[in-house]
Amino acid sequence: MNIFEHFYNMTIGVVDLAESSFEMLPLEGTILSEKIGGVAVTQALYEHYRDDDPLVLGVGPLTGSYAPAACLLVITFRSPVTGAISHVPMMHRAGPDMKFAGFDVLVVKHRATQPQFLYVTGRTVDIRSADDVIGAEVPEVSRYVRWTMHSARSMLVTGPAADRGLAGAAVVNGLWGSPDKTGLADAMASRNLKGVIFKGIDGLSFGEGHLERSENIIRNLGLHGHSKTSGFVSVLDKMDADEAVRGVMRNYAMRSMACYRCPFPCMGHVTFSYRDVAAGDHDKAEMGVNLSDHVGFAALARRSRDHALALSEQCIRYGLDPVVVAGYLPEDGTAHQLRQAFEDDTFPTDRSGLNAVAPTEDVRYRLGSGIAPIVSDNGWGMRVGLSMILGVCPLFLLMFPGLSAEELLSFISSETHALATLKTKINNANRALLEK
Amino acid sequence: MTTYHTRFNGVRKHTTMSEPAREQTTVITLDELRPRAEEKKSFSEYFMPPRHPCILFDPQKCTGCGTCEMVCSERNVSKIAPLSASVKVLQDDREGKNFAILCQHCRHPLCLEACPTRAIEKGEDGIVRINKLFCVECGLCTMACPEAAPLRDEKTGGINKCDLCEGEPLCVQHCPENALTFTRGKAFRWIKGLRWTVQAISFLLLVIVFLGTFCYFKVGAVTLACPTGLLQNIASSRTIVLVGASSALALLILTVLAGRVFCGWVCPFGFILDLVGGIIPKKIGWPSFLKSRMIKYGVLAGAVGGSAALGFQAFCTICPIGSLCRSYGVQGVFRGAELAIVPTLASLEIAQRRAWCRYFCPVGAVLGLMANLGLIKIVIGANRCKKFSCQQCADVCPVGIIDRGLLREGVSPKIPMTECIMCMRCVDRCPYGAAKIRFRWQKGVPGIPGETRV
Amino acid sequence: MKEDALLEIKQHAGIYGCVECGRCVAVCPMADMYVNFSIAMSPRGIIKKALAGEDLIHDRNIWYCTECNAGTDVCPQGVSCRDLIRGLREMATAGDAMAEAKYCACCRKPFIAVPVEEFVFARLHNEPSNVFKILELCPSCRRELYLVRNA
Repeated sequence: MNIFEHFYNMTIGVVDLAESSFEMLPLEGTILSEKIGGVAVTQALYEHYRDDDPLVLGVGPLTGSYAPAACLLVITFRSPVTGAISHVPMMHRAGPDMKFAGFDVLVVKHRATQPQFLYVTGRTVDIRSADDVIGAEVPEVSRYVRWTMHSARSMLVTGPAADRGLAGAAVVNGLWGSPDKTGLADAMASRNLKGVIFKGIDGLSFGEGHLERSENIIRNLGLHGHSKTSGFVSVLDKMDADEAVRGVMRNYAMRSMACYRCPFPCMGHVTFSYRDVAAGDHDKAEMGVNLSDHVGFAALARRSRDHALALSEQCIRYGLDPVVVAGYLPEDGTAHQLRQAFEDDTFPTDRSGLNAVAPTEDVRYRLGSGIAPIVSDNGWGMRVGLSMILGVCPLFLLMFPGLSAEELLSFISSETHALATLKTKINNANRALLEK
Repeated sequence: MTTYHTRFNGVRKHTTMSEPAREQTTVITLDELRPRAEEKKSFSEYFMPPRHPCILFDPQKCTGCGTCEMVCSERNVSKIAPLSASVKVLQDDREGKNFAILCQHCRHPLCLEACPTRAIEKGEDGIVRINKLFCVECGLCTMACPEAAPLRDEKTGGINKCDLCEGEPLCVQHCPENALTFTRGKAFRWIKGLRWTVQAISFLLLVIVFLGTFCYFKVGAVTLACPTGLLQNIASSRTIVLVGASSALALLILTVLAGRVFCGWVCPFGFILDLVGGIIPKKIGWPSFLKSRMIKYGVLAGAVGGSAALGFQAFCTICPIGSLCRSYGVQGVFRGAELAIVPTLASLEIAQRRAWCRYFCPVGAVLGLMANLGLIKIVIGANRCKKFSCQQCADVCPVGIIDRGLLREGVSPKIPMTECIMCMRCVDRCPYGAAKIRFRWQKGVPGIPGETRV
Repeated sequence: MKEDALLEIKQHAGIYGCVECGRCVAVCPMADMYVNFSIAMSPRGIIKKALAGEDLIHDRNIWYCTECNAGTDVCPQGVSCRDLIRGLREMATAGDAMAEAKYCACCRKPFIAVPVEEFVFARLHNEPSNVFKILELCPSCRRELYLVRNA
């Protein structure tokens, strides 16, 4: 479709893990004109390749552009936990890096015989062995990837929890927790896919006047200039997290971090000292933790307030979903207990019986399962669906309901008729997604 | 033996593995074809140093969003392609820190030195540019830069280096967190005028007007003394002259409060040294065996020990400050040989600026020890300091305590307050407000509004 | 086999198309770097030796090149002297020949040839010696170190 010409590469990559092969196919304009992009397109392609039980990674038209928070990558797959199709949003830089590597959609089929990495860059997909890092903790996997794959910018990797098939294994985005709450890491591990790494060396021209339009939006939302309050805590506030959760962060300074082109840094790095007195572990270590998973952090803070930060750090190291960890640990559980469970292999491989809210077929888990439950006038599902079709961060749209769909669509076209058509199509695609 | 072309058209021989002789071909050298522009300093530059533009980056504000890369790449290649930008945003996930690497437009660029085809030039406007006509994209500029700021574009193979967008940098305009600022540095330097005035007045009062009131230690006379004089007094005569003790104490308290301002603003011999040093250019080097700052503590020990042994204030007789205060007025006492002390020691300026203060002065030694316990420090804040690209503080510091090597490595050095004479030339000269006076307990670095607090 | 690998490198670089026009030598920056720049280290000379089947892997002359690719850009036949030199250097490093490559002190990857590095050092001889500590690192690691010290 013509209006998307500069928003996409018009290319799909199809990887067959069993045969270790890769091919490039054109992205048909007809799909785009129907589905626009993002999760609607990945869903359609999932249906197309249904028999091969694929993982479908896709970006939206606005991904990588000047639109605020234009960072999104969507991964569509059949969740081994719920049995239903699930769509996981990935933020940070994964979306733009895949798009600038030359791919709008990546379809990963079948199962590899040996653990593999997919290295996506410069219109090729390199399949590399991951034997060296199976069982290693995530920081070491990250170091290995950076060393062997020449300063790769984005990586989605699974941790040792997924290697062992533990309950609640989750994908780690760089060294940041991801919204994977429906078992994407399990799906990857069962395909022997250790990680997908992106490095986008090319670019796209997108549209005219995007920068100015984007800056007006940012100014109108009151986001220009350095914000003194931590975005992470603002999200916790809007989630209606109780004082117990918010109170954890009161004494800590957070170094704010933002995703690609995001004016609202909702992630942060916290330095803290941890002394696990209960277990006799007297190491008063200065530790640092990357906090990005608001739902997960809230679950841990409710369960074990004093150890929430240390547990968050461990979840990233092991590649675990903090919600499941919170369900496993007793009240006021310590980091030491989690470490023991992991090392002694007593951590469960089965979610049943854990005191965690299990993901279900409900829309909250089907679509953007890890995104904070912020109340939205339009309905949470429609707002998140809109963001995941356009390729912008769902959390940003939830936090700023003042940003209308029309304003976002104006990045694609300013012509009234085209705008109206786009809006109708997106609403249709959105409803279709929420119905299934 | 391999030999290389160096900057001044000289040839520097570097011994490596010997190679078999081969026929020499005559080539026209680059120096003949495109001679390097002469770096001449115009007269006005002594009074008003040129204010070259640069971009300041505040890492505390940076969230790593990468907008700077986007706008820069759009200017370079007409599309949003972050890896084709002239700026690179690094995100350290383990430390939670972000940094933007971009060309600092050094006053003496290293990339300019290393470029084999002389493609890099520093223009009249201060901007360092790569001339694409001559660039062969060898990447040696990146090798020479301490920050590796010229970036290799992996798509085209070329080198992208910031050119400040010819004066209106896009990254500065569009950073959502205002972490980048474009500046030409401050223009007005007022501390210099104030200091010279205070030094002149102090010289007038101490040497001409209040002749003989200071440092005159004849037994029974009522004079003021410095701390070193007081120590020698106690050592030699075992009694304390109250007037002298109180003036010495006043000086010590002043030093605890404000550092060695005596040395930089009050000392009349320091004034003479500054005058002489400003007129005589440095011709010869200072011998390395005399380069220890500890020597002055030895002189102090010798002064006190000598006073105890000899029964009179040994060092005070030959002290240049004292001889100025005593003998240079119209009715000065102790004429004759003592007049020679000041010119002799002032002539050391030909080898090293403020050499007396750095290496020998026992008054400075005592004051330095006090300054160590003091309230004040001079801090060079890393977020505003331009480090290797500027180094003006190191250029002007008369006691040479700003570590040039560290600056070249890209680290803002700490200033040892025992050695600093609080002349504040660095604070005055720093165009970007990096060098500042702070209280010793202040942890924050100048320019940062404080970390994000919950 | 080594011969096969060598043949593949030569074919990949396309050296069989060389017509000895000398354009690569005209743009080569080595002429401005080394006073005794000679045909033996020039791109044309190396290609000629490769065509003649001479042993280049043990030849020090392959280590003077900066890999800038200027020669390839101007070659009318599309011969890539950079690819040839890179291939030869890789074989020399993998084998028993002297490898005049400098390894990064941090990530241990080779990032510059020793004669080229010596040229950069010679040009920077006016600087305080700390600058050479920085030059022990490859550009990527240098940037990371700058972040650690200044962020």
